[in-house]
Amino acid sequence: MTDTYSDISDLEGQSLPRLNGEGSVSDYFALLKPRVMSLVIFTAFVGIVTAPGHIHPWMGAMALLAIAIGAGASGALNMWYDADIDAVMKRTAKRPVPSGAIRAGDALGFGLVLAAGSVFTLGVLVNWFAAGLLAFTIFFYAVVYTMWLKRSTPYNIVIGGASGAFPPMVGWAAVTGGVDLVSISLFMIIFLWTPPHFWALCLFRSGDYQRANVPMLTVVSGIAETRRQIWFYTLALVPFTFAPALLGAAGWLYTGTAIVLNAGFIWFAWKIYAAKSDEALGDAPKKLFKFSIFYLFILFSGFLAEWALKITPFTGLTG
Amino acid sequence: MEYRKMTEQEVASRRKKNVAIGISLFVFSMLFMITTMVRVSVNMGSS
Repeated sequence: MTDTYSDISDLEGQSLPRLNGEGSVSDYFALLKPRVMSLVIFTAFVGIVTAPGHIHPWMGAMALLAIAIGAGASGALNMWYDADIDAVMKRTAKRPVPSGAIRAGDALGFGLVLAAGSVFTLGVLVNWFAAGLLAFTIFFYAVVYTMWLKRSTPYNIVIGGASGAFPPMVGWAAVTGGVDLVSISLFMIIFLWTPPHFWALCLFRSGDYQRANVPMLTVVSGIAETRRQIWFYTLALVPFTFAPALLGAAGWLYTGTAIVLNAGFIWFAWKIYAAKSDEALGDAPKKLFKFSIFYLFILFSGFLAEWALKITPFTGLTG
Repeated sequence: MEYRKMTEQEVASRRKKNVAIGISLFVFSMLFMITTMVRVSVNMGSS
């Protein structure tokens, strides 16, 4: 079937075939960014399960499904809009739209239908406050981050990271019908975790962003500044991880887990910050990137485990 | 007006997508139906 192919780009000497745009089911699944979605599902699950109050397990599952589809919709809209820059980045060139597997218009339609469907489903089946928050999350990722910030400021990921931090808040709102300090603290943890996590990736993928003309911090301000910013955001993140305990929503297990994980995060961030030169970084950015994923997963698991084991939370500053 | 004839691969791919859309719609409607039944049972239990 080679007659349905034509070359679209030459990436570092490797020619990529352009497909016919018909797209398979698995191509459409790839549009949902399943790996990103898995983190969203997990953090939203933690929000739903640990929120005070009661939700019928079936309703909780429906809320989780709607949040997951909403996250997928954001991914599809992102891939539709970013197809031009994805095509010139090694990490993203094989995505369904730049590879030609799915037409851009189809990706847009798919994303819009899923976005509307997920918000409607959450609103009708669970509550409209959570649905509104989910709609705002999708809007924030697709419009504020993807269309505006990503191509205009090196701090794109700092503000844009909020979209990845909303899911536990949406899950929490699905149960409580609102927002409180504990759900905001879960939001803040992911919000402050995102910059060091993403900039660590940028340190070993900087060439990609330069080629795509995306003003990432590594491209605009250089590696030395990125290393400093990783360190500062790590120091900002650490105190916020103790907020759930200070607010009386977490006890010794979560706090102990946070202490150990923070020690690891600080260690890996320090290795980047204290390297004698940019060239001496070695694989420190890769190590921080990998550890940061483990860090967030285990931190939220600790919060979840406390709920499951019925461990009494600390009294907290709010009494 | 002449149209380009779809290749066998394209036809097969489209058929699979149609099946996936059909299954998704069926599952979606079932989820709404089950949720309605759950809500009714919860409301009846609490009244």
